[in-house]
Amino acid sequence: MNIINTQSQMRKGVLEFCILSIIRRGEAYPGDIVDEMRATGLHILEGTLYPLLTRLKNFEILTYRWVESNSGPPRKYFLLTEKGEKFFIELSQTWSELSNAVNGLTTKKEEIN
Amino acid sequence: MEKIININLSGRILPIEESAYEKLKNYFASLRTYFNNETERDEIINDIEGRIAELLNEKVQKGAATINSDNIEDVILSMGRPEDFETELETEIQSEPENKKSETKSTIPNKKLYRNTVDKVLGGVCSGIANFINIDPTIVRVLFAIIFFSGWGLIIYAILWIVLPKQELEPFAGARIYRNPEQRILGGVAGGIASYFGMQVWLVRLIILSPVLFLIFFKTLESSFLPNMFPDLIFSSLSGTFMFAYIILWIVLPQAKNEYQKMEMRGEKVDVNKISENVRDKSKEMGNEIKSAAKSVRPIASGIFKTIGIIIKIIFLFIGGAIAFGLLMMMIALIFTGISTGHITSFLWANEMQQTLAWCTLILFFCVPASAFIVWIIRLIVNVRSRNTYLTWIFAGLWFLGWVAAALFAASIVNDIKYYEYDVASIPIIKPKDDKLIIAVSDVPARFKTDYWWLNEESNEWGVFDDTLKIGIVYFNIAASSDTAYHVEIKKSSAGNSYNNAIERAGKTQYSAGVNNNVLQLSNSFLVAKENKYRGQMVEVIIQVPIGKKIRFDKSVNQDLNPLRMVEEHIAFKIGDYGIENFEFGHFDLERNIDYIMGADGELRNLDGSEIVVKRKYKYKRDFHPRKGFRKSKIEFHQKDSQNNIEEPKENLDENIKESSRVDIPEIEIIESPVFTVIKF
Repeated sequence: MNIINTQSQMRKGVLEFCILSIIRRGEAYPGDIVDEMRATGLHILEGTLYPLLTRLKNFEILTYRWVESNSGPPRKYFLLTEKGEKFFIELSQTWSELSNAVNGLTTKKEEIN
Repeated sequence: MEKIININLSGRILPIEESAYEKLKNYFASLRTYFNNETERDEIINDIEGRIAELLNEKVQKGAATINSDNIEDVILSMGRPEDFETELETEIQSEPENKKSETKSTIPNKKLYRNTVDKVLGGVCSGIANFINIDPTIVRVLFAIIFFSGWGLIIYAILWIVLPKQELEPFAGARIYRNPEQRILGGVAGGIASYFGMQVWLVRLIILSPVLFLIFFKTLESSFLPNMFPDLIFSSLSGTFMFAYIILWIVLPQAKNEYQKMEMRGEKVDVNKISENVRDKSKEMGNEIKSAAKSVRPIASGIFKTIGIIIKIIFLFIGGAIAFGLLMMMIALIFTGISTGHITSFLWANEMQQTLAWCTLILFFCVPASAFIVWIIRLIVNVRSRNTYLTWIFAGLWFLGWVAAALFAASIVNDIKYYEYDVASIPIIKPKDDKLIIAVSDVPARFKTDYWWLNEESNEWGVFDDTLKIGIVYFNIAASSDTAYHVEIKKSSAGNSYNNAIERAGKTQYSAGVNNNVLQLSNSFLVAKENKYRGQMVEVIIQVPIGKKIRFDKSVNQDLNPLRMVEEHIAFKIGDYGIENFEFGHFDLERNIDYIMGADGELRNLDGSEIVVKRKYKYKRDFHPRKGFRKSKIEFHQKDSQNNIEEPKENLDENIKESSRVDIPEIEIIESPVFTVIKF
């Protein structure tokens, strides 16, 4: 049983949710997103991020706009759409249910008889 | 020295080193493959490109003049490698178990044989065949090239071209055979073959060279026991074939230039994981590879010259390898000879120093350059580039010593044979009966042990014993005596390093000759004692016959046991198996058991006073020897008439035989005894 695989699966599950929560607070470009996530300890590769963002954009959960910058090429700034907002709310509900359940299970002290 | 190029990354112009650029390019290639099935692939890639451009731009802003490999490495680290991406792609690429024949791509059902319109060199015939039987089209092309040269190939190819239906076929996705540019001496053919079959490179090279090596090996044994034709024919033709095949492969096989091709060459399953693995592993070597790839871009015009150069290089290496192997065999043979003939050579060297010098010359002067050459060739073949120049200096130094040793040795030997003198002893002859001297010859009895059977052949002409050297070269000369008595002189000559030394040496040569009644008993060989060394000793027996007196050669002179050579002034006689032959001017045979008389002019004549007639008992006597076989040259014989003119050869020889005068002499019986042969009447 490959633990890396399981760990990876666990992360993959919550990645979208985390990204959306960052963007929800304000429009962000991928570099920012990566930095914020790393700051909280959830490391993500940019190469993982870009396809995700693109897919979310395809599903119209996200949208973006171009911002010119003088210190480099133009950047894509992502923001949440209305659909994305609804998506996020559902997800956060799912997350709280999930996290409660998992926390409850893993901290139980009594034995199962 | 790195080449700097400018790239446009998302609208930004960035100066980047060539090696870094390659790295970046490969990264993008891997990304493209990874996202190949994504509908949004291009967009994703563009985003990533923009992000990379931004990161690189930052570095330039911070003061870097150009982007180098390390910068790219940082960027890749940050962006992540495809196999690390944790995304759910539309079609996830699984890592299947290694399989050389890839089945991920759907191929058109392999029921029919087509002509491939997509991947074609000429008409796509070979490619179509390859697709049908699912192997690398290059292999089919190589096989076809071989068939082509048999003449039928062209026709077969043309027929197939016409007959097979056209079809676009999937590109081959299995293991391809390439030339390996990383492991190359000439063109990387051996390396490519090795990669494809999973063999070691040196093994492949050995196999290619093996016919040449076998050829040399068998050649050197040829004289001993192996039949002549077999190795020659097979191995020389095989060598030629292999060389030819190598050239063909060089031209036909493409060179594995980028990572993708190299992985195909090794038969590894081409997927994202592997690509990135290789990109990572080879990041350091990329710089060098770029340089060699850049060099391999040649303008079309010089293509022909390059091919010729390539062919010359192949031939050179083949020949070089063959020579090296030959030299190795020769060296071994020389050393072995030196050891095995050590006993003989102890007769040659006057003192210890000469012996040492002789060995030094052999090893330093001959073996050292031979070894150096062999090592050089082997290095070339195995593709080891040694930075060690010490070896070269050591070899050069040893060889210089070899020159010195050779010079000293030569000088020493020359010094030893500066003088050539002779010593004369005479044998008293009492007036023989009937005024006739009979000359008989006997062998020196073998009193000596012979341990060296391999040196002493059947021939009795010479022999090497523990402390003696026996040489069966004795000359004898017949001249007119100045007075009325017979005189016999034994003239022994030898070389030496001074006048006295030469005479002394000559005197010590043992030669036995004696007179018994009217028989002059001559030994057929002389002996040289070991301490006297061999210095060109020679023995000459000078027989002076008074005018009007007779001389006769006993039949013992003729036997196989008794080779004697007779010198009469400038004309040399040799006593062979069938008579006394003159081998300088044709035949002047002296008969055995026949009396000759000394004429007034100092020449032997027949009893009736006529000149000795050239006779040939057997027409092919000189051409066929019972032991030695046929001789190559034909010898014409001439007749001397009474005016000493040389006439045309006479056709009928039997007449000549009858013309010779014979005198009736009772048969002589010979009894062997230790020193002399006692003759009974």
